[in-house]
Amino acid sequence: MFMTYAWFEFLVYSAVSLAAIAPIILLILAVIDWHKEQLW
Amino acid sequence: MTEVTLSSQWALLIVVLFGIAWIAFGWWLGRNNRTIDDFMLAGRNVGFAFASATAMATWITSNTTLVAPQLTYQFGVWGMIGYSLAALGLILFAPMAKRIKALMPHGYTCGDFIRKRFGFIAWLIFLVISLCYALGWLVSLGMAGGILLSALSGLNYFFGMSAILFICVCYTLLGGLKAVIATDFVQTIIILIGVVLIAYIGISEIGLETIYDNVEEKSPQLLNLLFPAAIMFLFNNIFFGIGEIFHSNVWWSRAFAFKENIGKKAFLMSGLLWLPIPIVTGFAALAAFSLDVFPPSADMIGPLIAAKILGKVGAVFVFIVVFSALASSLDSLLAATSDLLTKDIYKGLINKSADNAHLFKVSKISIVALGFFTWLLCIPKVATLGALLNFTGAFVASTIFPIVFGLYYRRLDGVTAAFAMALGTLSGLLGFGFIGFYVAALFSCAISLLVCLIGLMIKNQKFDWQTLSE
Repeated sequence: MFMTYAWFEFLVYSAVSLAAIAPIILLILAVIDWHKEQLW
Repeated sequence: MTEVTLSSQWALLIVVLFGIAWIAFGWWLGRNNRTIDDFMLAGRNVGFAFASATAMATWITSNTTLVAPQLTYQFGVWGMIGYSLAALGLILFAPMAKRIKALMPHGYTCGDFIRKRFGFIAWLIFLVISLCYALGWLVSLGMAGGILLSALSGLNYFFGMSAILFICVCYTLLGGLKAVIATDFVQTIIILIGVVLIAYIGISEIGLETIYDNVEEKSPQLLNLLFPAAIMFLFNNIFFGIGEIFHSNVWWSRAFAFKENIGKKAFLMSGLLWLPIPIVTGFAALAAFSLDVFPPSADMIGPLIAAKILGKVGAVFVFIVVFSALASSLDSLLAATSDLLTKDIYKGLINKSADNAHLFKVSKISIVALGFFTWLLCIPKVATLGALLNFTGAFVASTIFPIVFGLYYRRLDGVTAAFAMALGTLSGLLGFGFIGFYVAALFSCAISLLVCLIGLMIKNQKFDWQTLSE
């Protein structure tokens, strides 16, 4: 049983999309913490 | 193929600039460290954003940037999926982090927990396992620094390995855990932007369909979902990842350092954000068949593919990403292992009457000594990164169930926990020797679970949780 191209494409594109939003989420969280003076 | 795409001058310039930047940042962050709690645990007051980023950055390491492509090249799609499931370790540790902070609000290391919960013998066995793992990981990170430089530039292995160790030792020494966590945040952003850009350019330049077609034609077993060794690897890697996180002081020290009620959501967030990263870094290795790249050793496949796709500018970019990934883990491991050496080995075995001011100094000496010892072990470059790392799987997977049962069930006693860790490790090493690295953690975890279950059936200890908070 081999992975089809459709599944391969789905796997790679979903991973890249999720990885792309990760830094945005972290930066937003940092701004919120900084605003509330809760970074440390 | 040993194509060099980055000149030695460029590589040297990046190492020096980043080195100066991280060390200066470390000094700036550490200038107000007054107590051992400030130095070892960042004042026990780390917020959600930094907490999530540091957990994620520490778990994105040479393993993710160099070994994930290597395993994809060897095991195909299961290689990268199996690697991404190591995120389960972070996700499952989330509720444990909350429990740890609640049970031990003044704790420093995972060794504190094992000693108070299971007694002296189990603590000694645990320390051996934990220090073997920490050294194995430290050496694999140091070696990765050397391999990166030799793969991407004209500089040699010895220089790269020495430079990354020197820089991380310096800023960890100057800033303690605060420097480690703050640099982790910056490094996470660099790494994430880097790996996404590399993947995006790779897909645009070669095309996902071309990559798939070439793998299907030249090495179809990499797309085989019933590839036996790859399936074994997948399950092995899940238990290995869980064992690595559950037992290691790198994660326990973070559970102690994060603010109240932050640990659970921070580890959950970091696990979910980490999940796609090995697939993003790993799938590029499959482009080797489209680009006719044949690395001299499998662990060089990632950097060579990225450099081939992106050219000279890309090589600079890849270099910065992997350098950040290595530093983000190496600093954490240096800090956490020096805590173990200071609080467990020095305070626990050598000088029981040492006060916190004295331990503060010992902690700094431990960081330097650990860095030097790692450097010595890295010089011979005895194993590939994957082999070295998976060898430690036999050790760490044996600690999973003693720690889980120890945190949640009063009944598990110290003798059972000690036997579970010792017999689990032994069976894992036998599996490693007679079958292969991809079963070491599986064997270790299964035997350890069996021993714990037998112990829970025949013993009925009623442990007093209050003991842990004293």
